[in-house]
Amino acid sequence: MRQTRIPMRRALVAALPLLLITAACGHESPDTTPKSTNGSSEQGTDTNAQPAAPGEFGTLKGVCGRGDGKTVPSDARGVTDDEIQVGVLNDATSTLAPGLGAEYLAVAKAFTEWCNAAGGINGRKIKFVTRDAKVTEAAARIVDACQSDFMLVGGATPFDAPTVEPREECDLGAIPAYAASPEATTSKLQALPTRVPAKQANVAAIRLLENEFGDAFERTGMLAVDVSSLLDPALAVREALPKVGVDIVSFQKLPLEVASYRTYVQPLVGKVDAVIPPPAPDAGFFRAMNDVDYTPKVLLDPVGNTYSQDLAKAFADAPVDAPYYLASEIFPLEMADQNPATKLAMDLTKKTGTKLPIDAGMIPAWASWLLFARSASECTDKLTVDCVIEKATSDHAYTAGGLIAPVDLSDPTSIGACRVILSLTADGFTYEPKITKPTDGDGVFNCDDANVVRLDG
Amino acid sequence: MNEFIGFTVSGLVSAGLYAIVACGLTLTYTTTGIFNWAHGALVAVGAFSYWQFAVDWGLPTPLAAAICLLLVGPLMGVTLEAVIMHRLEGTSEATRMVVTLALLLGVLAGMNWIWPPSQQRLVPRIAGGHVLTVLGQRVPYSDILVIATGLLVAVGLRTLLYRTRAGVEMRATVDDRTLATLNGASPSRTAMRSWAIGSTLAVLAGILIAPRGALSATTLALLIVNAYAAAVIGRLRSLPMTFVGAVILGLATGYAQGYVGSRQDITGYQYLVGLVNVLPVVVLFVALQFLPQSRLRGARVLRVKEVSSRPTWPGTLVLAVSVVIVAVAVAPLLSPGDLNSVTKVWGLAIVALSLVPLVGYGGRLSVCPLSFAAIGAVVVSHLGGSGNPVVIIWAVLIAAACGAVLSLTVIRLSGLYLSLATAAFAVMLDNWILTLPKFTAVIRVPFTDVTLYRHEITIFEGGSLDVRRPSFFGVHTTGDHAFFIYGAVVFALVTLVVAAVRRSDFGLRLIALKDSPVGYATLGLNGRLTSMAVFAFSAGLAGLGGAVYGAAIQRPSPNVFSFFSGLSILLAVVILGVNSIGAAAAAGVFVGGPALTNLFPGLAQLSSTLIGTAGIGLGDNPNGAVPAEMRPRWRPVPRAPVVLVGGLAAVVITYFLTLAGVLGNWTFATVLVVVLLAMPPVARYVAEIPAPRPVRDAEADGLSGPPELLGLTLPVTSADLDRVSREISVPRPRPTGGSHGT
Repeated sequence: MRQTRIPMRRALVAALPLLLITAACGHESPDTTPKSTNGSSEQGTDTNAQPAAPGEFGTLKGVCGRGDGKTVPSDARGVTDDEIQVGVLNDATSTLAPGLGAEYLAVAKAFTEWCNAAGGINGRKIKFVTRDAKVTEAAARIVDACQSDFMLVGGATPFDAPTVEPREECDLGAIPAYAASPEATTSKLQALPTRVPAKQANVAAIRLLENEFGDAFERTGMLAVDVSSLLDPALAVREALPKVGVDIVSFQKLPLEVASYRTYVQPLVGKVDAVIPPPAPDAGFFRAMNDVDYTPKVLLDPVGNTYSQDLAKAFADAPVDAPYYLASEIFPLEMADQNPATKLAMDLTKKTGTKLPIDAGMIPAWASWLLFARSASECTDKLTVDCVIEKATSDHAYTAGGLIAPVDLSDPTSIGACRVILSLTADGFTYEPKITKPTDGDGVFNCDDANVVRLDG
Repeated sequence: MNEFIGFTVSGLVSAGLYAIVACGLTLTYTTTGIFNWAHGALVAVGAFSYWQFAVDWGLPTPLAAAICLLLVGPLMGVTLEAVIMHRLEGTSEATRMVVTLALLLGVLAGMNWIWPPSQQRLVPRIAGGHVLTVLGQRVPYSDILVIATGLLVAVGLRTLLYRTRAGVEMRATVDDRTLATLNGASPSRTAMRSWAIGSTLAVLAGILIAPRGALSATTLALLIVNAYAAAVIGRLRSLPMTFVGAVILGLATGYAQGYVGSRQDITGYQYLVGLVNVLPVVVLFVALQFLPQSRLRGARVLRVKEVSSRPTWPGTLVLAVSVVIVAVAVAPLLSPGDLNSVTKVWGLAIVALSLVPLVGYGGRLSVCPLSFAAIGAVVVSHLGGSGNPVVIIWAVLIAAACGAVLSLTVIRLSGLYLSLATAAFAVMLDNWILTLPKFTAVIRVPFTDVTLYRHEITIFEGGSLDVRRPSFFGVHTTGDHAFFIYGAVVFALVTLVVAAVRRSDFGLRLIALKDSPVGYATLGLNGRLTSMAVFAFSAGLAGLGGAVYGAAIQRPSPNVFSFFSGLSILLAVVILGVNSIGAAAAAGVFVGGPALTNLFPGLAQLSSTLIGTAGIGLGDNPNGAVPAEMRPRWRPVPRAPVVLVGGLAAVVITYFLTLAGVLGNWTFATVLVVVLLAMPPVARYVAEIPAPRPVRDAEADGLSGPPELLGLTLPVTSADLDRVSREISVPRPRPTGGSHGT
């Protein structure tokens, strides 16, 4: 789950509630963007020469616009003739994990500015308000949102099980950036563009690397983090991998705060050839591997948790002489020039002046906003939460304009089949077309149905 | 064999780290008598300062290290001693713990402000990552440096403490400050020296630990909890033994992770994995069991006497009733989101109240109130599916039983060791027991296939409990408003129970035991039984608090009951007054309520600063803010009924106006604050009573000034003479004839 990886690591479990502070401004890292490497780009999508029409996002049409000039009737909460109020869940000012979810606010700003400039939702401007759950107050924020918000879009919080009952009770629709708990995943009045392995898992990474690393997969080691929102997906992956011929000989649960990675890397020496790293390893993980002189045959991230600039920095700091591959459902940011949607998303986010790195973690929020706006714009008879959710969940192959691989929104537990394989080196992430073997025409994704494994229980 | 050597080397590398940290801690304790819970924060400051100099400002590494060790470390230590630590002279263990904890939180808050956690900070490897190959294993020079430094520190400090005059002076000052002064030692200079050395060691540890990964203030600060075990193995006295303890700890963790934690083929491995992660605190707990038995001590001479006043029935009833009235009154004023947040207050207040008999009356410094609260919540969640309120009784009983069992294991411990043991228990519960995957409890008749009992148990099923709010006699507390009032009623009842206990024979025994265990034993009373009883009672109350707290949240996850959340409750209660029931209510409100952060959302650091400074001020008066500051100020108010009635009337009128919507919540809050601040001085003026001076030092005895100045620079008053006469039990001579007495 890419959204909860790095900030959660810093403080969550054993942290000191209430009494750690955050600074809104400060000495943050300069704005970083992934280097735009084209890799072997002969399979890239066509570069869009003409600028997109306002209200169009990549391949997604009719996202925002003035409509036919007439106001769509609505008696929903949070909707006036001129405005729709939307809440964005995050934990930015929490004391346990300061800055968690701050990227959702940046994306909200970028999207609403773009959408309102293009005419809004059939003439209504979107106004977003921050709903800061501070990690432990999610239910209270839902109750707040229930007073005045139309829907919750483009945000999320890691402990979201308490949000389900109050949200369903007050008919507050949601299109979150992710859903952490099983209760939240299957809750009503919700559309979920981004999923984590639970009842199904995507094993494209294994299948596509089987030829080269089949031997290594017979001795695979997994490292997971012992926090339920990060552990449950890892357990699902652990259940799925043996079904495609992977033998997991070592499964370690790391605490959220790791003082010395060496303790966890040492048991891999001589026993494990393929390593699945924890969701947000820092440089210490790779340094420890160097320290014990451990070079696996391959490092593999089948879920795509580790696709971030912080990881690239960590790997560059202490490179391990082994190939590192990850499978992602996000169109590679490094190839933004070849995908109008990705380029537009990155440019718009940068334009807001945010100091946060423009990272893959923002894409799920973009996917949520685009889905919301497109679905709401389609409700031309009457604007209600039910209508928006119905339009949203009727899309069986949603791609957010090309930002992500197609996902079936009607079933929140299904995992899409399409994945792209990226490699990580000291120079950053690179798209690997020869390994990915894309099946979607000019696209970059491999969408073989056999990529998805169904799990029991 | 190769594997074994690999794990051994890994273990030794961790050991070096623990050794430096633990030695610094032990040194500080041996030379100042204060167990510095904030030591880890100082380590973090060292690491971050080093990053700041060496990476952010690009100074050459040796220069950066030198600045940190020779400037930052000693400066930090001297400042600590001058501002905070010297006030802790002659205070109780609880006060010292709370002050150093407040320091920990304050420093971490400051660090997160100066160095925001969103940025990844990396420090270059020492010696450029070159390695030495030993017995077929690669050991980086940086790790060898860490182990070597650990050893050197242990040996060097021992030489310092036992072979140099400075070291002897340091130990003497801790042992008996007065005697040391008489022999020519200078306690303040010695203390500064001790803190400077201790801080510098912390900074050294920070510099050596920093290259292990991305810098994180919280990780570094909490790393120290694991090192406590090493310090305890050295019995907080012997540095070489501390080093041995660090080696044991490091090796144990290395082997455990290697042979158990990473294996999937061992039976029951999924239950042991969590144990491996908490192994350091398990080692701590076990080490504490083997400490030599401490002798019963006599009454301790404290600088300021801790007073536990006897609550009166009228006073307690007023408190209980006003709590309920305030709850009923405030509920309609709150926005639905705030009301949802504020339901947590009563559960936390009950947990805070559970600390009053244990830490306050009984003087048993236990730091795991939320652990028993977790047990209570788990019981209610599993048994109370339909909102049956009787389950709460089960929660209380089971939590009390757990408390009794725990107290058996810590029965010999007191003061600092007890707090360490209970901290170990809390961390074990948090990180291992509460996160156990589901297991099946089976009772079989031995040697047969007959199963008597089979039950599948998951403690925190799927990451969060499902706690139903109770309904009884047709009253449903599912809504936030109803639950808030229900919580207030439960809290009010609990205050009556605690007051009854305090007023009972048992309460007197607790206070006697706290005051003088020797005297208690001399009278033929069983201190251990009393201790166990109060532990069980407190645990039961905490279980009740947990049941209410869990029902407030409805879907609590394990982190809600974490050890550090419990610490903030302990802090709040001790700062406000651990002997006072009213203070517990205030503590619950402060910790659980959204008030501060919602009033000033941009000033989240305000609450942390408040706690920090308040904690530091505790040194002056360990009785806590409520009994020491607030009660004396408010004493004149009942004597000026006009003011009391007037103030109440003003508040009530404003309240009804706010309820009717005429005035806003802000206006009401402002009026309330103004009235509360104004009532004491106005009452004093009306009743013409001089302003009370807060209880301090020698003036606590009722004299109008320090006795050595009476008659010299201050006049001797009649009251003084009465006091002295009472003290020496001699009737005061009456003036005869026409001459005046003085």
